Amino acid sequence: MKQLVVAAALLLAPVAVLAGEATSRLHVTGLTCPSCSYIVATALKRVETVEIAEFVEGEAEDGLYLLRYDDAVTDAEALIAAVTGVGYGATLAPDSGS
Amino acid sequence: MTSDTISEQHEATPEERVDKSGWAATGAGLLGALAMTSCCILPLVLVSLGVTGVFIGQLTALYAYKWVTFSLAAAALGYGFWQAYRPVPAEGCATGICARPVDRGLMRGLLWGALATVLLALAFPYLAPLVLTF
Repeated sequence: MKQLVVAAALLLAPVAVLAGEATSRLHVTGLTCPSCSYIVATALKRVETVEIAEFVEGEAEDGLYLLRYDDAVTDAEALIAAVTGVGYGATLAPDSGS
Repeated sequence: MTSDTISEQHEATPEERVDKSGWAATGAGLLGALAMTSCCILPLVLVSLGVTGVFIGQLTALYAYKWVTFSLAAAALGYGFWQAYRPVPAEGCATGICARPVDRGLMRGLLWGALATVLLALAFPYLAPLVLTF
């Protein structure tokens, strides 16, 4: 029985490693209106596995999104593409990624 | 062409001219309401429906001109409401049949819809944080 449990754990271990949670901080510009941050959020949440953990509004019509996602499914480039696809500027914040 | 034929040709009565300007004001009010929603309700609805495109960001840039579009919409709606609800002139009833435009109800409905849209667009910045989440 013990061997069976160990074998099962060894089989599942790679899956657990692959399905790693990553975080990114995305700096978005051009948030000129009250709904802009929600529009960007809606576009980001359409990317598979992406969740918005936090949004910090800037003072220069910009904002910082703290995003969590499965890096086996998506990557930071897809996040930037989702934002630029709806007409806003996006760059990864310097201390982004995990 | 005889003088009788000429006299039978339809000339717009003052009532009809006023009716046309009322419809023009209603159309302008509707366009103003659409311009008011172009930032920020319309882009949000479009993105929620799955529409993407750089034009979304360009639409929201119109927010800077909010008070210009509001002024135009308010002027058009004000004139439209005056036309839609003003009393029928006494001379229009001189024959005993009042020349009331038959589709004033539609005009009034459109004007009220446009007014509600404009008010919603004005209140949106204050309502958004209450009803929308990240």
